[in-house]
Amino acid sequence: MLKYLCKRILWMIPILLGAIVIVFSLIYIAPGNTSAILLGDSATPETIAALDAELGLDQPFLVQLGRYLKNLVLHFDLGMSYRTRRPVMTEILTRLPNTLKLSLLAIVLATLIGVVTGIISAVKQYKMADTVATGVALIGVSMPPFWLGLLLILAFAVGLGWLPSTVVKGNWKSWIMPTITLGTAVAGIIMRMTRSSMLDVIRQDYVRTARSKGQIEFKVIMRHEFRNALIPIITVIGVQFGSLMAGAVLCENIFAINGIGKLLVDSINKKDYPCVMGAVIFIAAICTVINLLVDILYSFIDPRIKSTYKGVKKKADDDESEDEDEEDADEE
Amino acid sequence: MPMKNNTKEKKNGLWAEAWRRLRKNRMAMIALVVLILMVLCAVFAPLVAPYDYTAQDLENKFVYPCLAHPFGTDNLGRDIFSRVIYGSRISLQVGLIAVSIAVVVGGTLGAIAAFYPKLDNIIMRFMDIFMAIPSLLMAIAITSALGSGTRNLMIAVGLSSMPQYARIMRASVLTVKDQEFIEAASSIGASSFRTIVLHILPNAFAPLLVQATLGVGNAIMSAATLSFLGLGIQPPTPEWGSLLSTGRNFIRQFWPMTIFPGLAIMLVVYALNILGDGLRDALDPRLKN
Repeated sequence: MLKYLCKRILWMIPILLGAIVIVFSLIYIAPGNTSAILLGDSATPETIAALDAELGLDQPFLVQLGRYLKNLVLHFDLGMSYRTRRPVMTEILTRLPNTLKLSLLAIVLATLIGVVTGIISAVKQYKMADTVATGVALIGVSMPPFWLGLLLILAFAVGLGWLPSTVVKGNWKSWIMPTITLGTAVAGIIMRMTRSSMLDVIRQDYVRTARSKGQIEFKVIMRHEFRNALIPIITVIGVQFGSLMAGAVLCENIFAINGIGKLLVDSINKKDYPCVMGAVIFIAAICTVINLLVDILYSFIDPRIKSTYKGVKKKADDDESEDEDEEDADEE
Repeated sequence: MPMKNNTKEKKNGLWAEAWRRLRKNRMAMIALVVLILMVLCAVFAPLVAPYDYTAQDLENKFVYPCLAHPFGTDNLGRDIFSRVIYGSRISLQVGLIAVSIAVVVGGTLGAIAAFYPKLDNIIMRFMDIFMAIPSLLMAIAITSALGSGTRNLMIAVGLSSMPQYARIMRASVLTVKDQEFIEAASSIGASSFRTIVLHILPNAFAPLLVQATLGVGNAIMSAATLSFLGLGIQPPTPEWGSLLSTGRNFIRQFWPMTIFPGLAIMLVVYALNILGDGLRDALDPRLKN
C-alpha cells in the first residue's frame, strides 16, 4: 500500500510539470505585446523594449519557461500580476477561501441529493419515483449552469426578492443561489451514476442471500447494495469536484463572488497573463491532488482493492470479502 | 425480423441491430426528431425566421412575446425568435465541428496508442497530463491563447475534450483487436491495413459514437459558456451563449432575453443526452435480449 502511495504521489510531479508546460506554452503564443498593453498610451518602442527586458520577455521561450518553473518549484512563486503588481500567489490565496467554500457547498449539496435520489431510483426501478427522478436529473445535466443561475436570479432576486443576487459578506442566504447553480448539474451526474451502479449490484446473488436470510430491507440496501456500489460513485464525485472548481469560474462571475474564477476571467480580459497562468495551474494542481485523495479513499472503502496492493490474498474475514467470488459470476 | 432484411442484417449486423433497438426506444426517437427539426431550422434559417436577425427597430424594443414576435424583441428591437433561430446555426455548427475535431484527433491518437505498444505509454501519459487541467479551464486557456472568434472557439472546445475520446478509442480497439474474428481475418490473408480499416475500426467505433453524441451537447454547452464569459463568440453575432450574455445585462428589466436562448440550449442538449443514452443502450451487446 505504501509503495503504491509513493508511486502515485511521485507520478503527480510529471503530470503537474506537464500541465504547467502546456499552460505556459499556450499563454506564450497568446497574441498581443504584453509590455505595450502594460504601458498603455505612454508606450514607445524604447519603453516597450526596456519593460520587455525588465520582465524577461525578450528571452527565448525555454529560458522563460525554465525561470517560471524554477520560481514555482523553489519559492512557490507564480510571478507578479501585471495589473495589481502583487504576487500572483497572494492574489490567488486571498481568493481561495471563497472558491473553496463555493465548491465544497456545491459538492456536499450535489452528493446528498444525487446519492439519495440515485438509491431511491434504483430501488424503485421503473416505478413513478424512478421515472421522475431520472427525468429531472437529465434536465439538471442538460441545463447550462450559467442559465440556471440567471433563472434563479430572475425568480428569487428580481421576482420574489427573497435572496440577494450577489454574494454579500456575512450573509449566508446569499450563498444559496450560487450553491444550487453550481451543484445542480453535478447532482444529476452523481444521481445517474449512483442509480446505474446500484442497479449493477442489486441483482447479485449475495443481495438475494442477505434478503433471504431475513435481513432488514434498509440494511440490505445500505450494507450489501450501496456499499458495493460505492466505488464508481466515489470516482464520479472526485472527478466532478475537479469540474466544479472549473464551473466555479462561471458561478463566481454571475454572482460576483471574489474567487479564483473571477480573478481568471478578469485577468483574461485585462491580458494579465501571469494571473491567468497562475489561476489555471493552481486549479489544475488542486484537481490532481483531489484525484489522488480519491484513489487513496478507494482502499479504505473497498477492502478488495487494499488487499491487491498488499500483494497478499486476504482471507475472507468479513461480509464483504465473501462477495468477491460472486462478483465474477455476474452475468445474468 | 422480416425476411427481406436478412441480407442487410448479415452485411451490417451490429448497426442494423442497433437501429432496430433504437427504434423501439420512444424517447430516443422523439429526441432524434427534435434534433432533426432543429438542424432543419438551422439549415433553412432564412425561411424559418420571420425577420432579419440584424434588423433593428428602435420603436419596438423590449416587446414582450406576442403574435408578431413570438419570443419578443431585444434592447435594439431585434426579433429574439429570429436571433435564436440564426443562433442555432452557429451553436450547432460549433458543437458538431468541435466534436469532430475531438473525435478525429483523439480517436486517431487512441487508435495509434492501441496498435503500437511502444507509443502507447507516451500518448496516454500525455493524455493524463492534458486531463489534469479541467476541460473548461483548458478551453479558457486555449481561447485566451488563440483569441476569440468562431474558429478558435471550435478548436478550443474540441481540443479540450479530446483526451476522453483517445481513452475510449484506445480501450475499444484493444478489446476488439484480440477477438477471434480479427485473428480469422488475418489468418485468411487479409493485409493488416485491411484488417484495421475493415474489421477493427468499424467494430471499435460504437463507444466513440455514443460518446460523440453526448459530446456534441457538452460542446454546445462549453461554447455557450465561453461566449457567455465573453471569451468565445462576441455580440452582435447571435450565438446562444452570447445572446444570454447580452440578456444578462437587462435581467432586471426584461426577462425574455434571458429565457429563450437558454431554453434553446437546454432543448438541444437534453435531446442529445437522451439520444446518446438510447444509442448506448442500443449498441451495448450486454443488454441484448
